[in-house]
Amino acid sequence: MARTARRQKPVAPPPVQAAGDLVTIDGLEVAFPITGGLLNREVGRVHAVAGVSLSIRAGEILGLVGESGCGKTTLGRALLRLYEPTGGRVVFDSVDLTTLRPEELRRTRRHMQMVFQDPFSSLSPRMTVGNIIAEPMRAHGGADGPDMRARVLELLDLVGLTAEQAERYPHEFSGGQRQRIGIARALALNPRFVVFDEAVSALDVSIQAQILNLMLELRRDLDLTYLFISHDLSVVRHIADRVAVMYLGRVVELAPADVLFARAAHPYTRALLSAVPEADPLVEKQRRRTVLQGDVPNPSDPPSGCPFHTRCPHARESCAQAVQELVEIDDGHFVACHRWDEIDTDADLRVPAYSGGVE
Amino acid sequence: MSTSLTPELMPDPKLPVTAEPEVVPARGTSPGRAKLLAFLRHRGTWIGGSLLVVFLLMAALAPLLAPYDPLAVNADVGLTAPSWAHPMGTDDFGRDILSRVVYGSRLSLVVGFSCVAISAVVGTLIGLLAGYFRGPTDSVLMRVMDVLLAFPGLVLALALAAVMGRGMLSVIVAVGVAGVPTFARVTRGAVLGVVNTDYVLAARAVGCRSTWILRRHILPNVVAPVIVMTTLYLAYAVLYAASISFLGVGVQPPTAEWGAMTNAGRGVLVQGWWVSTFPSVMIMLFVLAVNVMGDSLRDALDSKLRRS
Repeated sequence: MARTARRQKPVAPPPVQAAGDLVTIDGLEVAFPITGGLLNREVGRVHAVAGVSLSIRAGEILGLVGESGCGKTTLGRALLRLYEPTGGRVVFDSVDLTTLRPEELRRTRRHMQMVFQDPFSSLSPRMTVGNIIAEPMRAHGGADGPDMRARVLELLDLVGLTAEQAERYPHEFSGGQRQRIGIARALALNPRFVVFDEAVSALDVSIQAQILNLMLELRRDLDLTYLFISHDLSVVRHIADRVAVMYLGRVVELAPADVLFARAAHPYTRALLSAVPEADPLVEKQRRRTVLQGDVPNPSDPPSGCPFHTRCPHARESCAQAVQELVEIDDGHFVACHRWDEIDTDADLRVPAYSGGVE
Repeated sequence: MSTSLTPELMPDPKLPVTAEPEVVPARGTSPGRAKLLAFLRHRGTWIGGSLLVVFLLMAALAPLLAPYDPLAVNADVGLTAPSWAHPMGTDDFGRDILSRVVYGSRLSLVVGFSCVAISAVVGTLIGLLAGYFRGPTDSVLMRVMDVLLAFPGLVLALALAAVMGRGMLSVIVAVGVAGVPTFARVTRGAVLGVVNTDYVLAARAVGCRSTWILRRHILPNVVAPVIVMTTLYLAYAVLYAASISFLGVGVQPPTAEWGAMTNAGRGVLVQGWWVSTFPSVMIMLFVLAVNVMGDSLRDALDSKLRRS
């Protein structure tokens, strides 16, 4: 039944990608059904990702920030089709991932990998580290033998682990070491694109810095492109070339990192930036802090119009009427706000720099 | 004894603080190995295990151990009480109870292990498929299991045995099928706990096939509860098989089988208590041995189920 349905589907126009873009996300939507009642009928939907369009340029690190529950992780997973998108398209290197059949998708996965947030749950406790790192190669037809063994050792070396650790089990490693194992696994197939989903959030600050530096080194040496998902603005500032800010399943601002941290235009971004803790009390005194009122609205019942209007200090009645799409206000600086040009963007936010990065 | 430390027991502050040399095992310790050790260290393993070994030896060496032919009828010694010649007495046909109990262990063990094999293999497979694929597969398979579960196990086994006709094979199939839903439920539950973990998602992200994920990631994580269930159901299976024979649907006389023997002695319980008692004591001991060992397995394998 599913097969005939697929055949009858009109042929999608060939994917269009601007030159230099590796990943193009076009109106991506992911909705999870809320089931209830006697027969598990769908009683509602949570729009975790509510129409996101973004492109990731080859070789760049795109930071994706937002509060917990804003849909960052869902976006990252839907991007690799670990979650099925309910709308929109994802184009990876001129291939539309959203229409691939399961087997084609499986083969395409070698080019795009993921590093998970929790270094403790993302490694199988029953496999040796060597087997964990070799698994992607086995999945793609690699034969066991001296070549694979050599590749595993090469990968261990690449992420700063030693050859004898290949025979050990994950529970014998620390969080930072485990995250290195996760990175080695992600790099095993020489991917071109890696999604780091809160990959350093579970680590100590000193270990975070090591892993971030490792990531930067690997990008330089292996010509990689990253999507770096995080809620930690100072970490994103340290590593990202461009930053996208998500709120309630939508991207509200997108700009080069230095521009975003200096001249954020969206009231939500400004509130986020002003919330970054500052260690120096003298600097702290001079900062102007925007404290948001209320909580993030329930994504199963999002507010009308601009999703942020319920908490925005600059909201007018008109903000509740229509959704504002992203508009380019400066070269490469996109904002989704009705009133961005009325807000005083010169007020100094003084976002503290990332202090963990000890090179 | 004085409470203060003698000077020579005090650490010398001038001694250099040497760093503890890091112990690097040549090979990592796998969680499975640690669990095996925990199992072997458990008291129940030894109690239940040694009893079980006795039963296995008894079944294997039946011809050597049994003093008489289990089927030989001897009218001269009909229904005699336990004595040196017949340690467990004789039944009303003059057959030696001890010999029949020893030979009966063969049948009971074969029936028990075959039943569990059917239940465990079929049930685990169904549970794996239902839990991994969810959706319609899950609904259809589990509704079928619910139907089977709706009958009490013994009634279901009895009905199946009655439909398939009398005999050992139908007892095995009937008790085996009756155990499938339990295994399917337990496995499915364990699969649901594993299928959404990050490492299964990670396996999918690197491009592993479903069959690989099921075999390499899911199955190893559900074997623990399945093994525990296997031991517990082994006891039930022997009990069910004996009950079916006791009720007259299963193994037919004159074959020596514990349940059938218990049934045969029912009529002469007042004149000869030993006819029913010894085979039923064997059933009880076997069930006890398997249960004790199952408990220690559960303690070693499934820390979540442990009731300290």
